[in-house]
Amino acid sequence: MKNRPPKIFSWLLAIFCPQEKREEVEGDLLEAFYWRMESKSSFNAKAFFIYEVLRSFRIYHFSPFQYLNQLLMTFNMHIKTGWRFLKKNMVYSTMNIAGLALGLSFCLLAWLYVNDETSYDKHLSLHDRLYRVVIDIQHGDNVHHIGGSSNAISQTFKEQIPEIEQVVRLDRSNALIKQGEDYLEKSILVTETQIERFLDLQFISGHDSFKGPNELWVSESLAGLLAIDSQAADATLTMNFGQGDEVFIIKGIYRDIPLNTSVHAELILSFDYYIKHAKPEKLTTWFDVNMNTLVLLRDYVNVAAISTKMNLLHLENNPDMEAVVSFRLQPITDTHLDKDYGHYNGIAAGGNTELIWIFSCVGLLALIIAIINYTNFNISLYLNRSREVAVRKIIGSGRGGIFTQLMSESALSVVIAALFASVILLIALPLFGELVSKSYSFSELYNPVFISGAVFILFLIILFTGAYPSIIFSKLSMVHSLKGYPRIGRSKALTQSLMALQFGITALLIIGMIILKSQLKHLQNFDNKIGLDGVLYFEYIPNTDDQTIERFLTDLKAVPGVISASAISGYNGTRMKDESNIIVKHLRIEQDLLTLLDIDIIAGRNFDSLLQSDKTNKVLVNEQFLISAGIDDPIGKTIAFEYGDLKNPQIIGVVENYHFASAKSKVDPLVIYQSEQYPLESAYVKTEKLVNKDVIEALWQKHFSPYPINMVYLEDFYNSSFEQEQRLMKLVGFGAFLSVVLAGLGLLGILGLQLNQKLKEISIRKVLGASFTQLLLSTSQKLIIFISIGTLVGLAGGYFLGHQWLLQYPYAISIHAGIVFLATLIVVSLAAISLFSQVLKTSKANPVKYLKDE
Amino acid sequence: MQQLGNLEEIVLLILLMTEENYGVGIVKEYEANFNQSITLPTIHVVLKRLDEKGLVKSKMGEPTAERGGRRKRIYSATNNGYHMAKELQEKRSKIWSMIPNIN
Repeated sequence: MKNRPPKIFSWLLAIFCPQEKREEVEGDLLEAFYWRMESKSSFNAKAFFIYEVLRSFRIYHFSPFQYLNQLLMTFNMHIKTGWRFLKKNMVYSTMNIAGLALGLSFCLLAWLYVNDETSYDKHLSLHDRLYRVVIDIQHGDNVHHIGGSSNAISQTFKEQIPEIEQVVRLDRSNALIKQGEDYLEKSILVTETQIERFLDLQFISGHDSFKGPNELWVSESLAGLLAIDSQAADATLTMNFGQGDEVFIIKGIYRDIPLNTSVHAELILSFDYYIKHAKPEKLTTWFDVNMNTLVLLRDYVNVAAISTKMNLLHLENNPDMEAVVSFRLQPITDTHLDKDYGHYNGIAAGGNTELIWIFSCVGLLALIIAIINYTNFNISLYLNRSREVAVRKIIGSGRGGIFTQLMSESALSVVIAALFASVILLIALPLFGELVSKSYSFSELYNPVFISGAVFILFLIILFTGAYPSIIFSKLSMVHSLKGYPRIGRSKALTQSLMALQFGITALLIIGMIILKSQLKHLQNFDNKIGLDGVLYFEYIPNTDDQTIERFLTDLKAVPGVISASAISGYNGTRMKDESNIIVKHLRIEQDLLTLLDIDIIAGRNFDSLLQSDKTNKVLVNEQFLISAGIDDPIGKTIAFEYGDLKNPQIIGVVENYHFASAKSKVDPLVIYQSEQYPLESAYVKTEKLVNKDVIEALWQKHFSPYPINMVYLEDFYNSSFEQEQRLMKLVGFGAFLSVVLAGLGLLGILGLQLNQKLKEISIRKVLGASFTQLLLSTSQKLIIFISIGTLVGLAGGYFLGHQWLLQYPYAISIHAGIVFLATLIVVSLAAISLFSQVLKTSKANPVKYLKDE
Repeated sequence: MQQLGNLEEIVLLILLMTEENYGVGIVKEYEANFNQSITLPTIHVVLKRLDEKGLVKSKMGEPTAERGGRRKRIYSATNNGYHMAKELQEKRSKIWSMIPNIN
């Protein structure tokens, strides 16, 4: 036990005792403490001391308010001096605060994004017991991840695994909702009543479980949009699933599901509808994967053990299966950012971990640059104030006093910057939402996690920006400062290395942006070997029969300006039935497709419309197929390809490797046939420049009404697959722009301040005949060296990261000297402009003016 | 006629006895004479009341090393205090003298 009065209580005494009484009371209490310590026991002394301090509160009217008042007065004064200082250095402070506000707002946006993306499904009250059933199927060395299950799977698990409390099947379907005479296309969730418990649905009106197929729940906002009277019991809704209008009964209206929920729906339809319309074998086939199964586990069960049970059930039900299949439970909170299992059949589109990483990094870099800028500015600006600090010290301010003063000043600037940043945030939020294709509402900003994070960031900034200058200046030697030669040599080295770091980050972002841009351009200009000119593309033709599509195509060909029209099924994949066992894509086409898309036949011939056998068991293959299957002399050979009725077809020709997907992936082996194994699904129309699109739209209406038309130019369709790259480029581009602005501002400001302190030296040099170059070298030699090192490191880092990023593309650019040169040029010219302008300004000044003043 | 509490009287007597004293000094005297501990705030309150009644006066002393350079408030009894205490004692001895001897 230490023989000192208990710290907390002496502290309480020190701060709460009124100033005029403090001396005598404190003196008495402490003296009594030491006396009791000697004459009695240490315990006795302490107990008495504590009791006496507490008693004194009442007797001496110890007032917390008085103490606060005192604190506020000091703070008030700090703020006042801080404000005057900011006003005095208007230009520099504005630059400084603007930089900080920019960096801060970008960082906050990044934080908003990251916070939102990582918050998915965590708000569900059952989230720690909710799982999705996923399947891994292993074929040879390839593992296929399937994020889905079938009706048979979900029902078997539900009945035979006791640890599963509840099972909900999910599917998603597109429907047209009749609204007056028009139709509104909506994606709807088809599921069971129990989903209500899984998603914490809250009903504002009606609340009935589903009993029949034609029953549904509507979200509050959709109900508002459709003007459904919430009070009318059993209101109805007319929808069209492609088989004519049907009437549905609204059994309830629920509050909108939060956007950060993986299972998100505006309209929930009874699963009985799905069962009623599905073919019977679809419901009983174990591996007809076309839905998602969510399971709710009982409390405290072993998830791994359940997986084992699931796999045993699989073996029981599919004893003859060749492939190795394993079932797994994926926690619902993992689904959003999952990359392997996909997001469909009722699971909303997923997030992107790569984007989250890049966002966090760029946000952090922006913040670091802004902080560095601010610190550098502050150190240089405060140099002008060393006299003031010295005078404060002489008057009696301790180190602590100086420290709190500078800290509160930096807090003041940060708070002002934060105000500007929130304005920027409010303006930028909708634009930002567009960039990351999310709809952020302002209510997002009131999220407690976001706010506490933002406050934390602010505190961090205050700490980082204020701490260093405060420590330096509280240690400042008074005598030197008063003489006007503050000795803080170390701060200069620090300023320079911070500057170097800043330029390093700038160089990194710039080279990153250039690499991104070149790669994107490379992908966009990539020769797909498809003639895209004037080709209109209907990506999806609603489920109608081939005859309707044929009639549609025939009508199209009659339109003036239309050169030809053709249709295809989707690209599907299957395995070859020989030892090669490779996966090939296969496609059903209509006669004219290859000529329409200008795809060259490099060997053999195209399909001939006059030969009936071409329609049944003849195929075209692409070059990649020959390579993968190892076929040398293809024409006339039969291949072990099987799909539906098409078995062991004969190759009649070879097409070149055209890219049916974007150039982000390699061309897969492809088999093309005319045999009707798949319904036609997409259509292409080649047009001349002057085609009347209204006529085409009218034809669509005629054949496929009420479905809305989904016609795009094929070229735009291809380009839309680069959305993610474009987004990334915008992001890095913005970061690069920000860092260029900040680094330029920083260098300008700091050099200006440093030169201002050296005016006399420069004047003497000039009088003695120094040239501009000599002046430049003598004043900023070190700075130039530091910046060069920083830039080099940044370029190397950017080169490395860019190289890593490019590895994911099969058709990547190489980072050639031109790119590095361009990045260097930008950074160097940025530095040079800032340097020259400041040095030139100083060297133009009349030396007499500065030499005269003493 | 002013009322004087028991403790007030004792503190006044200690002050009269020692001519000048301060908080801790009074505590020490009290404990030495009565074999009983007492807390400082109690003494401070009593001194404050005596001061208000005009029976004691106070002044700040010189800073001393053992109190870390803090000054102490030194109290001494006023003339009024002296007379008041004297009167009380006289009344008490008068009553005491009239108590029949038990032994």
